[in-house]
Amino acid sequence: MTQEKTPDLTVKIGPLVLKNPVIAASGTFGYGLELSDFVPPESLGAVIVKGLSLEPWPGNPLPRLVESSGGLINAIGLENMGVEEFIKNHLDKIKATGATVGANIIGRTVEEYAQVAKCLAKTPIDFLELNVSCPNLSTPGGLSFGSDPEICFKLTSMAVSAASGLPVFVKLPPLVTDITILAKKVEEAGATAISLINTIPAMSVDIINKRPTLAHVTGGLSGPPIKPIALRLVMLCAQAVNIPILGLGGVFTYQDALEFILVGASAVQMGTAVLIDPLSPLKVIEGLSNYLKSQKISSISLLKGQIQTA
Amino acid sequence: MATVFKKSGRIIYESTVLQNQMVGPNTFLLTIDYPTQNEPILALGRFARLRAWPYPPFACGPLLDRPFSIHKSTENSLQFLIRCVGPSTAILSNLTARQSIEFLGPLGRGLDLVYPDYKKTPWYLAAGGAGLGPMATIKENLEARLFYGERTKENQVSADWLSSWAGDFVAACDDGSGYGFKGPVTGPLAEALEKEKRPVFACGPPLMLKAISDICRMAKVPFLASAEAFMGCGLGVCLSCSMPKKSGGRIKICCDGPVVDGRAINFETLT
Ligand SMILES: Cc1cc2nc3c(=O)[nH]c(=O)nc-3n(C[C@H](O)[C@H](O)[C@H](O)COP(=O)(O)OP(=O)(O)OC[C@H]3O[C@@H](n4cnc5c(N)ncnc54)[C@H](O)[C@@H]3O)c2cc1C
Ligand SMILES: Cc1cc2nc3c(=O)[nH]c(=O)nc-3n(C[C@H](O)[C@H](O)[C@H](O)COP(=O)(O)O)c2cc1C
Ligand code: FES
Repeated sequence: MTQEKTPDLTVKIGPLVLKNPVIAASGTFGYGLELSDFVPPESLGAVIVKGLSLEPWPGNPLPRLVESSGGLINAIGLENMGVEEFIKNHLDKIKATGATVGANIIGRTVEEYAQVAKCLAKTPIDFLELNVSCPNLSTPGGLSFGSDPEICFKLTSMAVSAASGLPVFVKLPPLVTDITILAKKVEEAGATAISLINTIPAMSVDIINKRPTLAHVTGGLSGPPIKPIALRLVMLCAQAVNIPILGLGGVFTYQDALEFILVGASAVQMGTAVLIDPLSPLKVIEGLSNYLKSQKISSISLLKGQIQTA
Repeated sequence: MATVFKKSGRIIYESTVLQNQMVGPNTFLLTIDYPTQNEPILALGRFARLRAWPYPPFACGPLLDRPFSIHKSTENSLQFLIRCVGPSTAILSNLTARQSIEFLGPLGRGLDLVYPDYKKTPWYLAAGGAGLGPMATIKENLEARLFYGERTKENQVSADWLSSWAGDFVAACDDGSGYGFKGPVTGPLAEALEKEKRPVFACGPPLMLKAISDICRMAKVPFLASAEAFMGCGLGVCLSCSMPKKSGGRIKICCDGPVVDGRAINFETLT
């Protein structure tokens, strides 16, 4: 009898070895333990906690979330408990599960990002993800930080040095003229990996009251409608840089994850799907494993970037 | 199949519809099967997520599960009162026996956790529209008089059906087109409070909750409410339901509520 070998799902992201390529995205997995009886955080490749700022932020008024065209538009406004409270009362508990944990970080200025990175540098956190692309946080110019290649470069380099050796991922905005310029800039600035994509600026209208549905007027679109846009951006970046890419935007099934991996992502993140089916990341991991078995492929990393465009 | 998550006591259950009964022009009593090996749920304002549409969604169909108060819980079934207001409640209203429906619950905190002595006093219950949702189990578990308000006749549920579980109730209809007093339900409620002071539990639109909180403050009686906010998860991870408390800080309606001390929050922030 031939023994069927379990396919290898591990992936390398810089110095990190993740046990599988499925990561809980920031903003839909709380501070890491809220869903632990559905999805043990240690069973995922990694979990990324809600965006953390130097001080607690209150976020936007309600309503903050609406469904539209098969997706969600959110304007949570980065409500969070602040990095100190997270380190003091949450980080050790989630690390105790054995999970690989990333902190998504936010700030109102370039310096603030670096300060948050510095606070986390002395902790057991495994990596940082700079959210330079939240559509619910605008600079005086109205653009997210990440849209300007020079600011993006400066922000990344400052955070990389403040993080003293911790891997730093940069989550780029999807709505820019040429994503590869930004991708190359953050690679040059020392980023370990790129997360693509954040939500896409969007809005919804309440036709009865003739008002925007969200109190914040606009928000960010996520879920199935953004997957085709995300796939293209991941493909373009994968061709432009050598650092790994974490693909996200509408990953609901293992087939969605395979699409991202084939266009060049090393791993995927899941956001909206987790809100609808908290068990979905586990189903995607199982689906990938069964797929590799049925196709007799020994390792998931063999599929990375295998799309034939010519 | 039911999967029980021991730590939180939550259950994901692929259930089937046992019955869907029309109890008003746009209101349905949906009865679904619920595994007997599980303890009956003490509902008292707790809710569940229901889904009867696919994951991943059809192109533009409903995406999220939707939150509904548990209307009644027995050994082998659960009931929900569904007011048809949009795409997913239309799907739920049209379900017939043997169709499948996914249940995730029970979620949130009930009256028992917010007001542990709830059985020691008689109550007034105030429901606006679909705010009738949580009232049946509450009525079952304590001594209470129900006040039921609707805007127009087109929304009123059958008075016979309502009295079958609520007994002798007081109705009000804003525009006077249906049964009951003409005007908002807060009128008869305020009168009753003048005659006999009792704590009030209310569920309904934010402006009704605001009006009742004012009445209760003047009457100096405790006020508890089941609050509603758009819910992305019902599980405490998305922060779509997070609202400020009057005393500072915030609560998540899905896990710190939905039953809340009505004096602690500003209901206008929910509109
Ligand atoms: C804790 C709680 C208990 C509830 N109990 C009941 C009940 O017992 N009976 C009942 O008929 N209704 C109840 N509701 C309201 C019910 O969830 C909405 O009517 C339903 O989600 C509408 O969906 P739709 O697709 O039909 O309408 P839509 O057109 O999508 O929306 C109609 C209205 O419902 C609100 N809504 C839509 N999606 C959500 C969501 N995910 N979470 C919260 N609100 C939403 C919208 O903001 C809008 O005001 C409850 C809501 C909450 C938060
Ligand atoms: C409710 C909600 C909150 C979010 N909060 C954050 C956040 O704090 N930081 C961040 O970088 N991205 C945040 N996002 C974006 C997601 O991490 C993800 O980039 C986006 O939703 C696309 O992936 P999806 O389609 O799988 O959801 C949030 C998304 C949602 C829906
Ligand atoms: S509904 Fe998601 S946190 Fe309350």
